[in-house]
Amino acid sequence: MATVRVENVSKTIQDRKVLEEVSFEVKDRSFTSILGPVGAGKTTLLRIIAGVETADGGSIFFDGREVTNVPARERNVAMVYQSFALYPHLDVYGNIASPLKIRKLNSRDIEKRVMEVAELLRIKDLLKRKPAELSGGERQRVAIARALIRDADIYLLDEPLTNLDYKIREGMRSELRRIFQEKGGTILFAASDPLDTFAMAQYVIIIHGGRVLQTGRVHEVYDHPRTTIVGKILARPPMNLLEAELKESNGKLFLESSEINLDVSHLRNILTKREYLLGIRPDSFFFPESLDRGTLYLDATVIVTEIEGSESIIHVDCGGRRLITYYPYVKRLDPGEHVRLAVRLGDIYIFDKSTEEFVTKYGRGGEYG
Amino acid sequence: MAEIRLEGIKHIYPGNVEAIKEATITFKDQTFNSLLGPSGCGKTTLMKIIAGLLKPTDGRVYFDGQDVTGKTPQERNVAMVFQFPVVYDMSVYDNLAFPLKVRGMPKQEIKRRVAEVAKLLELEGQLSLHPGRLDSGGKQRVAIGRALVRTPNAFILDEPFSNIDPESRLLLRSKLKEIQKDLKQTMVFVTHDQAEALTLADWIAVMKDGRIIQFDTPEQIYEEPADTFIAYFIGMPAMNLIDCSMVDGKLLLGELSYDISDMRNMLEPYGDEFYFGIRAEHIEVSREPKPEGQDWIPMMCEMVEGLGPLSLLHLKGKGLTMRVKTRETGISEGDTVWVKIRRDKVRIFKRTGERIV
Repeated sequence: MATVRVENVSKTIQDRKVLEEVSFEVKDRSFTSILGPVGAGKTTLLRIIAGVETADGGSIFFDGREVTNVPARERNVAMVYQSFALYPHLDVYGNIASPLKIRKLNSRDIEKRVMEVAELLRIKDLLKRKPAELSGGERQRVAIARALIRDADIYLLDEPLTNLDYKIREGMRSELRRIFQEKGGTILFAASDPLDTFAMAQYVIIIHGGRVLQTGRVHEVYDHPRTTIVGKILARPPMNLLEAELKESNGKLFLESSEINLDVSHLRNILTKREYLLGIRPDSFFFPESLDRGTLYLDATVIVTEIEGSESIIHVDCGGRRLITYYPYVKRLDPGEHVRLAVRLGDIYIFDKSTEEFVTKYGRGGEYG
Repeated sequence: MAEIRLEGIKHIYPGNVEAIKEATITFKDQTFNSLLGPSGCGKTTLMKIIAGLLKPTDGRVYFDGQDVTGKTPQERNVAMVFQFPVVYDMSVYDNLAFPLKVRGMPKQEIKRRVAEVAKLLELEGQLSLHPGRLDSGGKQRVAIGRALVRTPNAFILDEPFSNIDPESRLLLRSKLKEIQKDLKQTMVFVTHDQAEALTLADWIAVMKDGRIIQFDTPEQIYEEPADTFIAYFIGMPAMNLIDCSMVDGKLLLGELSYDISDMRNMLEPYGDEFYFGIRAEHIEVSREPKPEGQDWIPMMCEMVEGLGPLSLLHLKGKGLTMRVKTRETGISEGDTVWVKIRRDKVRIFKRTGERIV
C-alpha cells in the first residue's frame, strides 16, 4: 500500500527555479507517468520523492504520513536511474544482490530472492556476466531487477526506455507493465517521449518549466488539454496551432487566418476575444475522397515525409505555415508534391491566444468551455 | 554522376573475419540509395569499398561500367560525409570554396557555385562565420555543402545525422532529400536507423551477416519483406509471425484453418511448416460481436498499449497471440473483440526465414 502526495514542492538549483510549487497525488498501485520535455524538472522531482535530494519548500506524504524529513533509506522507495548505474566490477548476480547485501541478509535468502527477480525479468542466463558484456536492453533489465529485489512500496523510474534502441523499446513497454503487474507496487516514471506515457501509464502528470500543468487519466488529458502546451506535450506528434482572428461579416462570426475562414457563429457566446489559436492534431488530417459539409479543406505542399516505425509524419507548407500531419501507415509523399488535406470541424480545438488556455472544441460549443 | 555496380564483392579482414560474404548490386545513376542494417552487418565495410577507402578481397567495383576497383576515392571522384562533421579551420565560405580552389576553378565561378550551395543548405547568412560557432546540425550542413559543391560521381554519407539533435536532424533530412531531387546525385546513405532509410531513400539495401538480403523500394521493403528478419526489424510493431502448418491444402494456425488451395502449389515444395505473417494494421477490429467463421475470430484482449492516435492491442485466443492496431477507443483489458485478417496482406515465410508468398 502506498499513495504518494507531493505538496507545494519547490527547488532552486544554482539560481534556476527547477521546481515551483509542485503538487499532485499518485494513486496506490497505479502506473503514473511524469511527462515533460528535457529540463522540465522530472529527475529532480523523482530524487526529492526518493529522499536523495531535499526540497527548498513543500512536503512529501506516503500513505498520508509525512516523510519530508525521513532519510532515503527509511522510505522504502526503489529508484532506477536513466543511466542504469550498475557496478562495473560486479557480475549481474552481484549487482542484483547488492541492496540485500547492504541490509545484511543471509546468503541463502539473498540467492532465493535473486533467482525470483531474475525469473521475473527473464535474465537467469545472464547472472554470471559483467555489465560490460550486456546489451542496453539487458542492462536495463538488471537495473530494474536490482530495484525490484527490495520489495519497495514505491518504484521510481527515470526515463526507463530512453537509452534503448527502438526494437528493444517496443518490447520493453509491454514487458515493464507485465513485470510491475506481477510485482505490485506504486510506479512513477519520468518520460520525455509521449509514446512511453501512452503505452504504459494509466495516469499522467504533465510538467513544464518546473510547474505541473495538468494531471489526470492519460486519455482524459489527451482529449481535453487545458492549455496549448499540454496539447503539444501529450501528443504524437505535437498539436498544430494556427493563429486566427475573430471577424464579423454579414451577421455571421468567423475565425479567420490567411488559409482558413471558419464560421463560428454558433460559438458567439463563448468567443469574446479578438485572437485565438486553432488546435488541430496531426492525426485529425486526412486525404478527402469527396467534398463534405462539416469539413475544413486545406491546400498544402509537402516539405518532407518522415517514416517512424509503421507510421508516416508528413510535414507540409500551408500558406507559409508549417503543419504536421500523421498517418497510421507507411505513405511517402515527395517534397514539393501538392496535397489537399481535410479536417472534420468537430476535431478542431480553440484556445485563447493570449492565455493559451483551452476555450472550446468547435463542434461541441460550450461543453467543456 | 555515375551508376555504381558491385560484382561478387567479398571482404575478409585480418584474423579471418568475413565482413562481406557476397555482394552484387547496382545503384542506378541519380538515385538515392540506403545501406541499412544492424551493427556488424557489413554496411560500413561495403561503403568503404564503394568509396575506394578499402580494396575488397574479391570482386569488382564499376562506375558507369568502368572498373575502378583499384582506384582511390579521389580518382573515383566520390564525395563523403561522415558521422562527425568535418569542418576546416576557416570561414564557412572558405570551407565551401575549398574543393573548388584546389581544382583551380576561376574565382567568379567559385563564387557562383558557393552561393548556390549555400542557398540550398540555408547557409547564406553564415558564410562569413567560423563553423565553430555553428551547432552540430550547422556544421554538418557545411560538410554536406563542401561535398556537394564539386559535382562528384557519387555522394556517400555514413550515418551523417546520428549525432545531430532531433530538431536540426529533421531539417537536414528534408534538405538532403530536396538537394538529391534537385541535383540528381547518385547517393549511398549508410544507416542503422530504419526510420531514416524509409524516410530518405528511393532504394534500400538491407544487409545482414555480410550479405544484402533485400534491395527494394521502402514501400516494398515494408509490405513485402524478403524474410522474417526484415519483417521483424522494419516497422513498429514487428510483423505478427505465427507458426502454421499445411495439411490437405489447408493452413492451420492455432485452432484456425484457412483454405489456401490457391497457394498450395507454391508452398508444397518447401514442406508443411511455415510462418504466417500479417502486419498489425492489416487486421480489422470490431467491438461488436460478429458471426464466427473463417473471417471473424473472437479474441481476448490481454493488454492495450496506447500509441497516441491509435492503440495496439495484445490479443490471445484460438491458440494464437497477435498484436493489432486500431483507432477504436474504449477497448479494455479482458474484453473480447472480433478480428478479421486481410487475406491480401498475408505473407507466408519458410521456417528458415525466406518469404514465399
